[in-house]
Amino acid sequence: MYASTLVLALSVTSCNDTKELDKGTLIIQFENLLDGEALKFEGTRYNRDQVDFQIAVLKYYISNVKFLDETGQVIYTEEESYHLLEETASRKDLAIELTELEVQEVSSIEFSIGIDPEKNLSLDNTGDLDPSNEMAWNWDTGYKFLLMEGEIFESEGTRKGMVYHIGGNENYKTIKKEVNTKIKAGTTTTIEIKAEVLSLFDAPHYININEVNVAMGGENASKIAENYANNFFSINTPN
Amino acid sequence: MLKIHKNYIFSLLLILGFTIGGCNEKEIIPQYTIEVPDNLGGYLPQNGRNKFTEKGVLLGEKIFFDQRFSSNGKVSCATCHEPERAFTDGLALSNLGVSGKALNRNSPTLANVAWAVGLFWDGGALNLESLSFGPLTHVDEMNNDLDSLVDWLSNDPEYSPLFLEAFPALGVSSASISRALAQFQRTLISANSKYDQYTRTDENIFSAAEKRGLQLFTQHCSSCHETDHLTDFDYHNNGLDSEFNDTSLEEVFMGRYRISRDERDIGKYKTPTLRNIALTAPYMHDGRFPTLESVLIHYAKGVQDSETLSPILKDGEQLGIKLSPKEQSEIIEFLHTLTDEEFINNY
Ligand code: HEC
Ligand code: HEC
Repeated sequence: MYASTLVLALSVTSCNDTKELDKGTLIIQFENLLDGEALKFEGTRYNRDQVDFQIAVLKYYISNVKFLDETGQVIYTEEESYHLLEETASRKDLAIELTELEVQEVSSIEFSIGIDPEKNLSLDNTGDLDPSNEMAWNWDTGYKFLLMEGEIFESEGTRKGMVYHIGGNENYKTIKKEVNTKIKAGTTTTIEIKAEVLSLFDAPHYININEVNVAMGGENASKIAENYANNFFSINTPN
Repeated sequence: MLKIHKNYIFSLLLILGFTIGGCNEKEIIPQYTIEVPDNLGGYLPQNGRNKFTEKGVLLGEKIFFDQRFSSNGKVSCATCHEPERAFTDGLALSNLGVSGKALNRNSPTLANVAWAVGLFWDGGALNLESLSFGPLTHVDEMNNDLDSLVDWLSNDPEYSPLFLEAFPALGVSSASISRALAQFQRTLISANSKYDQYTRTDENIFSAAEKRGLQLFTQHCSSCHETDHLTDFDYHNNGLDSEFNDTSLEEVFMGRYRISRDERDIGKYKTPTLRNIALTAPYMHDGRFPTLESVLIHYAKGVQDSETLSPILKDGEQLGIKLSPKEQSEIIEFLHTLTDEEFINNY
């Protein structure tokens, strides 16, 4: 009834196995802080908005890492650049390692928090985007960009969950930071980035964590996203 | 299922594609396209990053019916999407999952799901490749953990080669589980009902009542249940409720609004296909109507007003669609012509 057609499709990816010695490595090392001190998890109670709280887990995606030169020109773009950074009491996975880099001066780096709209359309991904990382929504296709969970103790004996799941294309934010560093041949350069948890709730939008103990989409999630775009990250410039 | 489509009216187009998994390892994966009758658009849509292969579809079918994909070994996709009921489960709100706790929405048919624009009653899932992780992991559905599934499958002498053959680059992974399921589900094509035969070939097979039913349907229903998919792939409020104040459970009772966050979408749900509708009772997103009679009575007399009610169901002060009892039963006669025995028996 229907004619059969035979189509040949050939896709070739070139293979490049040569490892060059005149290349360098850069590690972007994140550190989570709360009120300027290393973040501590369950067992350590913090206080804000007249309540005690503790944190169980903090995870966020850093993606689409780029380097810029002093004129603002992009000089390096990482391919398939999706990194899930994760910290709990028992797990610390906060480094991004970029290898095989050209030797060059890097004035600033650019990265995004979250997953770009193109990749955020589908969950059948591997690696850091594998849904087994529990950062995918199951009823609304897309990834949680930032997840923080913990508990709030309103008064002795009463506790409630603290759940912030921030995602959605509108909350994908790109951040640029001056680093003024150099990639050196055969050497690993490290950039340290501090992530201050309290700044998720500080500015431009003050968020009372006792009133807004849950944000998963909607206005409060967008406020937190504007906060993380604003002041979540700060760079420890070398020297 | 591919072997069925061969003795069905569809034929397969064989496309040879070369994919290269890793350096200098060439592999030839035969890919298929499946043709469908013209009244469904002539071809079966597929996902560019997950094209059909015979091995992929067969693996997907095996997974779909395999209860070992649930944490207690008792629930498969087919538990709630049974072929005999056109891939539904006969319950208003399914409690067939691992926990035995009722879900919040009715299990929809998977017939012609390849064409769906949004999935779930509110269109929250964007594609089949993304959707499966929900039922596989949800505590009230299959309650599994993707890491332990991948562990099990990688060590299973039957499954692991099947994954490597169907997905040489991915191997066993959560992505390939979902891609295989998606490929299989896209082959669930219902296109040979009495109604299809009537439109495609033989106008004489409809009875007088069925013909009148079709006329009334075209006049009153097909602006939303557009032929021949029997859906416009859009979202409407068809007047089931007058208030949508319940914001509990992550706003699951607010319809499309939960996804779009647009107030004009409060109370709107996806227009479901009506293919095989006589087999998929009970009806609506919460399974509130047990029979087609009660659905027609709803459209004739039960439509509730609200801000977002579809204007098609409101004419000045008059709510709903004016239909006499006789007209209602003629429409029901027509709806029965959408049953596709071939699909149920040889999907
Ligand atoms: C416990 C019952 C149950 C199980 C098990 C189950 N489902 Fe479902 N399925 C549902 C319900 C209920 C919905 C509607 C959910 C909604 O709209 O919010 C649904 C919706 C769907 C849809 C969307 C169809 C559409 O047109 O919108 C697809 C596709 C689907 N399920 C596939 C699967 C697959 C694949 C599996 C196995 C991995 C599976 N289901 C397991 C109950 C179940
Ligand atoms: C304004 C658009 C619109 C019109 C007109 C309309 N429907 Fe619907 N129909 C829908 C929507 C939307 C749903 C799903 C509503 C829900 O579950 O919340 C639906 C659901 C149904 C269902 C249940 C399907 C299932 O799988 O549960 C049946 C049966 C049905 N309609 C038949 C009809 C008939 C017959 C007519 C004409 C008399 C009609 N509809 C007119 C939009 C419409």
